[in-house]
Amino acid sequence: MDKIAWPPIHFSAVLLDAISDKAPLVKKVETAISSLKLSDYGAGLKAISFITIAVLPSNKVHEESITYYAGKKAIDFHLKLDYPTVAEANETRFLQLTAQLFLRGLREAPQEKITDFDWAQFQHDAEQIFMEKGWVTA
Amino acid sequence: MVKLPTRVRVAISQEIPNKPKNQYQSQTLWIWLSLFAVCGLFAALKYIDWEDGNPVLAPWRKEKLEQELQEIDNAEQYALKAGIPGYYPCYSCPKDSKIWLNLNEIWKYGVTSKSQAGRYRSGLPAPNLYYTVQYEGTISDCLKQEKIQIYHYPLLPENIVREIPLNRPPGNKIDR
Repeated sequence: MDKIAWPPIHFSAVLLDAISDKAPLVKKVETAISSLKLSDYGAGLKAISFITIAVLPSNKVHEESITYYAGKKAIDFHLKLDYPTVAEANETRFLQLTAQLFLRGLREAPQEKITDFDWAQFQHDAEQIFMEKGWVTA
Repeated sequence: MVKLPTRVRVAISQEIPNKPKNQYQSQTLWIWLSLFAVCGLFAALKYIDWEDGNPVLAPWRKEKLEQELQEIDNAEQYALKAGIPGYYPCYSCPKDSKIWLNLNEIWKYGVTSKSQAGRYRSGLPAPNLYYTVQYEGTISDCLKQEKIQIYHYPLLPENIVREIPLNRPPGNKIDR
């Protein structure tokens, strides 16, 4: 079988089945941000995986985490949205929530461990894209 | 809470200049023996406590047991579904190694618990899959649900319409 090609910035979701129709929407955020090339910001980061989580508050399986793999120069974000908010959100609201969650992830990333990467510029450029899409406001 | 693990590489030099080899080996042996003795003593002391002359589990072992029992109760049965229409790896296809899935079609059913949450920590099996929690409960109940889902997969409309229906979801190599 052919090797599976992963995009450098990859989005996916972990959602309760009742709201799983929203999961494919995260690909819209991935597509929007795919114009940003990680190599333009330095050699310190080659891959970003971002997982949006929306499960019941009682769920103990999915916890938030940010993991940096120094060997692969990759960072994985597993960050949570409030389940009732996601359940009530329409498409635009869900995209706004995901975009804002991504920006939160960038702010909380272990930037001091990934020095050869212009975090401020990357965050600024991502924010600009999200603003153009109407997913975040100034 | 956000966890930020650190990986540290340690380089160990194997050359000790100006030192006789047999002396070095003897010292190393003693260090290892001492370490084993300390670890053994530490382990024996830590696992067992004594109350009124009776052996009982050490508090940290009791706590760990309760935590692990709780983790068994906090399991979930999940499905991995297609996030965009396209070709996905197929382990249950009679001939092809890939299969076309439409949006939201099932790729795999599975079970995980808190202690196994690392299963997809470094990414799902294919980039365009997403994860949905279908059932939450004890690991035993979740395994039953998983089995029911896998066995009933051939009857799903998305499978029935295929020229050659699959016997189980594309991502499930076996019934469990």
